[in-house]
Order: sequence, then C-alpha cells, then structure tokens
Amino acid sequence: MQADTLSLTFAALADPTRRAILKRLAEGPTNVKELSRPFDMSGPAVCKHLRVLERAGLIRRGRDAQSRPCQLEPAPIKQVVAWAEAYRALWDASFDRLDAYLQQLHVQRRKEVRDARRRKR
Amino acid sequence: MRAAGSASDLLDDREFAVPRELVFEAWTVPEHFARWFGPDGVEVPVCEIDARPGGEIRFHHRFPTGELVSIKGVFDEVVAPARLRFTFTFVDAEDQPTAPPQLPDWPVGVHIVLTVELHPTRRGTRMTVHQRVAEPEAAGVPPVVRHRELAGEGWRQSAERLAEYLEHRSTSWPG
Repeated sequence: MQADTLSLTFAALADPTRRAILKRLAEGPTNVKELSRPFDMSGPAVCKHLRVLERAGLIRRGRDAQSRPCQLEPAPIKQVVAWAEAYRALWDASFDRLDAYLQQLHVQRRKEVRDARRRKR
Repeated sequence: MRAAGSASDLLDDREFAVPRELVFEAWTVPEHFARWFGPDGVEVPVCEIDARPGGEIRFHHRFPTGELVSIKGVFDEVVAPARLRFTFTFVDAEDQPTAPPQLPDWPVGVHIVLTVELHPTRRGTRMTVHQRVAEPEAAGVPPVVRHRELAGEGWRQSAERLAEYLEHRSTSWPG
C-alpha cells in the first residue's frame, strides 16, 4: 500500500464519530437516515463524515439516488490493523525481552553482592 | 510542556520487580541495551550510547536477510535514574534516511522522540514510555503516531473484531 493511502485511512479513522459509523456499518449495510439516528447529527453532517470515509476507501455507497446505502470496504482497515500490529509487536517484543533481561541481571547482581560479602568475612 | 510536533502517545506502561537504577542502566549502557532493544533475530554489530544531554545514541541492526538499519539519535534529557528523552531516526549503512524492513510504510526521515520515565514502586519500578513525532509538518503523518491511538485500548480490539468480521463477511458481500 502507498504511504499516502495509509495516511488517508488513518486520518479518516482518527475521528471518533467516523469510527462509530464504521462500527455501525460492521453490523451490515445501511442508509444515511439510519446512520444519523444514534449520533444526534443532521443528515448533512453525517454525509460529510461519509465523504471522508469514502475518499479513504473505507466505505462504498450504492448508486441508488434515493437511499444510497453505505457498506464497509474491508481492505484498508485490514491494512491499518496489520500495520499497527507490526509496530506494536516490535515494541512489545523488546519490552518483554527487557523484562526477562532485568530479572536475570537483578539475580546476577544480588549474587555478586552476596559473594563479595562472603569474601569479606 | 509540549514541544512542536505531534501529541505524545503512550507506547508502554509496565512494572518490573527490580530497582529503578537497574532499569535505567538497561536503557543507557550499550551492552545492556543491545540485549533487549530491537526486533527478534537481529545482530547488533555496533552499539554506542553517550547518555548525557547532547550525547549520541547509535545502533546497527543487521537482519537475517543481510539488510542493515541503524538507529541514530541524540539525548535531549538525562536525569538518572528517573527520566530520559532521546530523538531518533532510522538510517541505512550510508547514513541515508530509510524505513525499517519490518515496517515498509514507515514515513522515511521522520524523527521520533522517546520519553522514558521510571517511578519507584513497592514492587520495584514502574516504566512508562511515550513517543511523538518531532517534525511539526509530519505530525499529520498518521502512520507514526495515530496507529497507537488506533492500537490503543478499545479501538484496537474493535478494529481487530472488525477485521475478523470483515474476513468472514467480505466474501459474501455483493460486488
């Protein structure tokens, strides 16, 4: 995927209302009227969010001029999840390794201190 | 105080059953740092840390594929054993900005500011790690920081569920 496509996806996902819209769409395709209901927002305000989501390729809208049903487009979300997971996994693996290493180092240091004391006696 | 660039973003928050001095050492002494930092299976042929304000940090990671990626940075703040902050970027063998091989979509040339804070606890040490993008113009480059927002609590799970759901549903969707 192109970096700018990814940016577009992330920018679209950065808004809580748009994420809520996507969550609702995960239950199945629906129209603008249905989508506006839980958000306490006007049709045009919802349409604005839908346009951002559409431009990012996160949703698709039907051609029927009256209802224009919306549905999720899976590919970009999968890519975003994959990217976020890869980066997170990188750090998680490092910090897990740090945890294990610190334990090992701690035990080793305590042993050194004990041995030094023993030698003094 | 927040400098220019993107908002700070929590990368990790965990507790270790060891004294804070030891955790600080693991971050600032090269022999220790090389033992844990980085992706699995890399060799660390070069590893230099000069942990004082203005001091440099430099690491080579050689991947099993032979590819070499360096982490190059400068310490902005060092307060032993409580806090350290450094700014880094990824460069290749010729010192040119590059993307780490595991993250091909990485916005090349972007600098990440990493802040490590160590707090003493009854059990040992609590470590928090924050990151943000240094370049104000790159603050809008979401792959670096927003992924974390998305990968954070709640949304990460929803995104996973969503992806899982889509995995199963996408085939049945009308073209």
